Amino acid sequence: MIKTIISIILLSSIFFIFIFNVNIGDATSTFTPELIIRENGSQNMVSSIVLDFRLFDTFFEVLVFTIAIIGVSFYMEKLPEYKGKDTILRSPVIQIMTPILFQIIVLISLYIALTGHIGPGGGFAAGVILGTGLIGVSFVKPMDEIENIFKRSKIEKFKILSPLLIIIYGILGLVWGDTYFANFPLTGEVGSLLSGGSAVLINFIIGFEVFAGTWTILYKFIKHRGLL
Amino acid sequence: MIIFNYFMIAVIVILALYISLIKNHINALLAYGMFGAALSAVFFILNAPDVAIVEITVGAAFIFFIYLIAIKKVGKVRVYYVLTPYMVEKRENKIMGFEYALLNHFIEAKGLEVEYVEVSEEESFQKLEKSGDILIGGHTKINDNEILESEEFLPTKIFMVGKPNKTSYGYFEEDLEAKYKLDEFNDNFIIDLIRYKYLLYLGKTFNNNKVEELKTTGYKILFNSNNDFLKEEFNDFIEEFKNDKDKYEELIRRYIG
Repeated sequence: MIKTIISIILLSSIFFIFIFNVNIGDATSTFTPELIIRENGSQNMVSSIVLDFRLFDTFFEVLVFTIAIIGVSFYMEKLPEYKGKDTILRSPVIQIMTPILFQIIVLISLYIALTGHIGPGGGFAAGVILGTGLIGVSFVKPMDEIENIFKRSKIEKFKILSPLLIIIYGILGLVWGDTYFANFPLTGEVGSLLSGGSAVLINFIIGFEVFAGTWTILYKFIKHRGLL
Repeated sequence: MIIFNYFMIAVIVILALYISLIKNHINALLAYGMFGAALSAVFFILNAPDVAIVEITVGAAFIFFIYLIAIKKVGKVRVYYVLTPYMVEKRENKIMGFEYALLNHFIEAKGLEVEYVEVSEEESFQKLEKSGDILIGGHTKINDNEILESEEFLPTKIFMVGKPNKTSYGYFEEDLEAKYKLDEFNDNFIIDLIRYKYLLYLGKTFNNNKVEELKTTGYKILFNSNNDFLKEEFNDFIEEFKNDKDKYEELIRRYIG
């Protein structure tokens, strides 16, 4: 009881000290669209905001997502494993079409991640599309094979490295820029594939993280609750 | 385009109300998929294609799959039963009885799959700990710290006939031996109400011995020591079920009288 009270007092005092000492300033942005495009080089302005001007926010979003996935994995581990038989759909339409559709889904996902700075899209959408596409494969393939791929790829461990990669990128901003989280200076020609500095790189990092996370959630759910 | 936008927003409102009011899970889930697609269309019209792509994958596909797996039947529960008069009986290869019916209500409410396995009195506890989840069969007092007991689902009384030197199954005393064959119960034993009633039904009389009421207690369902979660669920269920007086009393009337 005393511990709870002390921790609440400490937390609230930290909160108030923070509030009274932070200088928020004028919240309106002084950037115009032309300035943003000239400085960043991305045709998709949302991408330039998310991946360059407000990369700090994006980093914490990725961190929150990672921690949520770790929580899901941790608590699903405690549930007993599903021991019923695999339900593989015997419909020929699904069995033949799903592998073909999956390749198209992978292509769409890569395209969205690659051109996130030119058109609509980005890392998050690409990761979710790829992770959801994998569940279609689990309709037609036995669970053992998917489990084998999941275990062998060690994706569950590698995905935790994504926030670390973004941190390293942010620190390296000191090398080629003047501040942390500075954009890579090769802005290129607006509208071409190699533009927007490091947008493609960060899109792929975020895409991998989200893909690994969604796949982990689906895998854990199927493993511990069974498919459909 | 503006009219289409208003139409979509109206669709979203209607679907949201439908989702929150519908009782059937699958219908709510299908409506949620439509909700995600409609929301995605609104995002697209309002010049936010990035958000629209994310919404249509997350809202209409990913969450749909996750919830579909989450609300499915949880898995198989293995229930061991000890044949007990009025509680778990076998007639013409069909199991019936009060405890069985009550457990079936619980299983149905939680969407579990169930497998009933008969077990003899001697090895009921070992089998429960080894491979079972639930054990039924009129238990009132057990001397086992490992096995979990639920709340009392039916009040009962313990009777003492003569000078007790044995107890019936379900009520275990440390210093008294438990006997299982009810036909051999003639004098000097401790027994619970249901089995006592069965003895009277068999036509036994205890005129020579004094029948005394020992204490008031209740019947419990036993759970494997790993099934703490299931026990909590059952306790919640039984509390709710007891409040539904008509249903509960009808069940008692039908099986016990």
